[in-house]
Amino acid sequence: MKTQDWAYLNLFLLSFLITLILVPIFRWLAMKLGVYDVPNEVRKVHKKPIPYLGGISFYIAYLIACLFIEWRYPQYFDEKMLIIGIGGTFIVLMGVLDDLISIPASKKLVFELLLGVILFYWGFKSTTIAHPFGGTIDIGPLALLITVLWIVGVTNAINIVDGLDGLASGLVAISSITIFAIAYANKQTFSCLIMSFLLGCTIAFLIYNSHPASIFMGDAGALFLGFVLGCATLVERKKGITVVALMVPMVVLAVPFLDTFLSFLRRLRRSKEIGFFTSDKDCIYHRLLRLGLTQRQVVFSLYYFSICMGFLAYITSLLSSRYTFLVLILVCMLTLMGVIILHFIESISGEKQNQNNTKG
Amino acid sequence: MKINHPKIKVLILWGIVLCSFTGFWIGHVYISNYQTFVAPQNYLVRAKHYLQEGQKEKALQEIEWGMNTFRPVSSETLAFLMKIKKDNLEENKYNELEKKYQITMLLEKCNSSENIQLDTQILDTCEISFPSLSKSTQSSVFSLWKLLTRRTLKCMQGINLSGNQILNFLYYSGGIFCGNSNIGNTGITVDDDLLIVSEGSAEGSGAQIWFQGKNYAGNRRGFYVFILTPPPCKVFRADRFDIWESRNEAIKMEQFLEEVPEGYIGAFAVADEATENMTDTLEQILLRFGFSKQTYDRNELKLFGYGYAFAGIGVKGVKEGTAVQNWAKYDPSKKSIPIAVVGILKGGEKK
Repeated sequence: MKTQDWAYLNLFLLSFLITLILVPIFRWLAMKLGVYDVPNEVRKVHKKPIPYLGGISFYIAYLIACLFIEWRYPQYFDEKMLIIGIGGTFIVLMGVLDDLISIPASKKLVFELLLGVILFYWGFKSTTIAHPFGGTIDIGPLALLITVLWIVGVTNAINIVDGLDGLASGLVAISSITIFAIAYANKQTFSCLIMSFLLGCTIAFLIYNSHPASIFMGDAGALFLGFVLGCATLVERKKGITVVALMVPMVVLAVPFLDTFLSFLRRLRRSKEIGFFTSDKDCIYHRLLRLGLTQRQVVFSLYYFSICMGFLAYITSLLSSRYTFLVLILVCMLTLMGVIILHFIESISGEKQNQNNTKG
Repeated sequence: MKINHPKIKVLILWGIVLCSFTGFWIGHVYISNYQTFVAPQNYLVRAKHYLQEGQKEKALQEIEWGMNTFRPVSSETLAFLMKIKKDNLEENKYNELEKKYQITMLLEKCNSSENIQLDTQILDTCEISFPSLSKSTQSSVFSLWKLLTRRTLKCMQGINLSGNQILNFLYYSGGIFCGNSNIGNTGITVDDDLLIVSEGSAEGSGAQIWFQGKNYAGNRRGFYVFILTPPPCKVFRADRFDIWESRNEAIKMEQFLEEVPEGYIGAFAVADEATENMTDTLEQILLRFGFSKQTYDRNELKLFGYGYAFAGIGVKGVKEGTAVQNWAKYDPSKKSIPIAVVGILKGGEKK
C-alpha cells in the first residue's frame, strides 16, 4: 500500500474511533443538560424524546483528524483543512444555538451566506464550470454566487434530510464513498482525506443513530457535515485553477438536493400564507412514510436510490463533459419521473382512503 | 444539579466547542512549527539554526544536502554557504562560488527587470572546460540560447556571448554537464554532444533536445522523449506525451519506453507540466533508465514535481541513480520560470 492509502485508512479508523467514543459522552452530556429533541412538532417522526448533540462529536473528530494529518502526514496537509475547521466552528456554534433556542431560518440563512462569501475569498471557489460541448467556461463574477449557493445549498440539503433515524448520516456516508472513489481515481488527496474522515465518523455515528436511534446529530451535526461536504467538493487542483466538476457531486447528492429543491418550491408556493421559512411535513421521507412504508424501509429505499446515483456519478466522472451534461439531464428526467410517480401513488392512496372514509 | 435555562446550556456547549477549537489551534501551532523546522525544503532554516548553536559541520552538511535536493538554489542559500566557507575554502574555489552567486542573483533579477548588468568577463573562465566545440554543437548552443532568451531569459537578449560563455553561464546557473561524453556514471558514452533544456510551468517556452545541430523537442506541453541507439549513436525514435492532459498519454509513454531495447540511450525533457497524470508504472520505467528520486514535492520524495522543469539523459537497464538528471522547482508565487539544463559534451571535464 502507498503512503497516501495508509493515510486514508488511518484517518478513516481514527475518525471512526473518535466518533465511536465521543458520541456516548455527548449523549450523557445531553441527558445531563436535558437537551432532548422532543416530538412536539408536526414534522417530527420519532415518538419519544431523544438526546441531541451527537453532531458535536463530528466537529471534535474533525479537529483531531486535522492535527493527525498535520503531524503524521504533513505532505498531505492543506491549509484549506484549517479553513474548513474555522468555518465549521461557526457552523457548529450556530447549530448548537439552533438546537437549544430555535433561531429563525432567515437569520441562519443570512449567516450561512456570509460564511460562504468569506470562504470564497479564502479560496473555496468555483471560477470555471464545465462547458456542455467540452472544455470549461470562466464564469467571472458569477463565481461568487455559484460558490456561495453551493456551500449554503449542500449545508442545508443535509440538514433537511436529517429527519429519520440514520438517514442523513447514511446518505453522507454513501456520498463520501462515491466522492472518495472518484477523487482516488483522479489522485485528489485533499478530497480523499476529507471523504475518509466523513466516512469514518458517519459510519460510527450510524451505530447509535440507526433505527431506533439513541441519539440525534442535531442541527449542529447536520450543518457541519453538509458544510464539510460542500467545501470539500469545491477544492480540486488542476493546473493552478479550480476546475470544479460540480456535476458529479450534484448527482451523488441527488436525494438531499431533490428534497431541498421540492421543499423550496413548496415553500415558495405557500410563502404568502404561512411564510417561506416555516417547516412542513412534506419532505420525501414524510411522503413515503404516509404511503405506509416503515421508517427503516424509507431509509433503505433512499439509501438504495443514493447508491444508484453514486454509481451513476462514478460512471459520469469517467466521461467527457459533453456526456456529463447528458447524464445530468437523464438524472433530472428520471428524478422528475420519480416525483411524478410518487405524486400519482399518493393521489391513488388518497382516493382509496377517501373511499374508505365514505364507506365507513 | 439540573440546568433549566437554555441560555446557560448554550454557553456550556459553546464553551466546549470553543475550548476544543482553542486546543486544536494550540496543537496546530505547535505541530506547524515543528513541521516547518523538519520539512525537507527548509534546509536553510535548519542550517542557520545549527550555525547559531555552533554546529558548523552540521550546518554545512544540511546546506549541501539541500542544494543537491532543491533546485534552483537561491542566492540566499549561496550567500549563506559563502559565509560559512569563507575561511576554509581555497581562493579559486571561493571565486567559483561567488560566480554562482552572481549569476543566481542576476537570474533572480532577470524575472523582474529587463535591464541587467553582467560582467561577461566572469564567464571567460570556468571550473569546467568546454574545449573544441564542434560546428554542429556551436550552432546548437547558439540556437538553444536564442530560444532561451526569447522569452524566459529576456533580460539577457542584449548581451553578446560566445558559445563557451553561454555554456559557462548555463553551468553557473545550475546546469549539469558531463565531460568526456560520459552519461553520468552509467559507463556509456554518446559519440556526439547532446544538450537538453527543460522549462517548467505554463509560462515557460517548452523544451529543447539538441543533437547533431537539430532540436528534437518543441514548445508544446508534455514529456519529450528522444531515443538513441548505443554508440555509434543514431536516432532511434522521438516523441512527445502530454501527461498533463490525460492518463492515456502516460500509458502510451509507458508502451513507448517498454519497446525501447536495453542499452539504448534516452534523453528526456519536460515542457510545461508532466506529473498530473503520471502513473506509478511510468515512474518505475523512468527509474530503469538510471534516474532516481532525489527531490521533494509536497514533502514527498519524487523524480520531479508539479510544474517542475526536468531534463535527463539515461540508458535503459542501468542501475538506478547512475544517469544524469536535473530539475527546477516551480513556485507559483514567484514570477520565475523553472529551467533545467543537462549536457553531455566531448570536452567539459573538471579542471
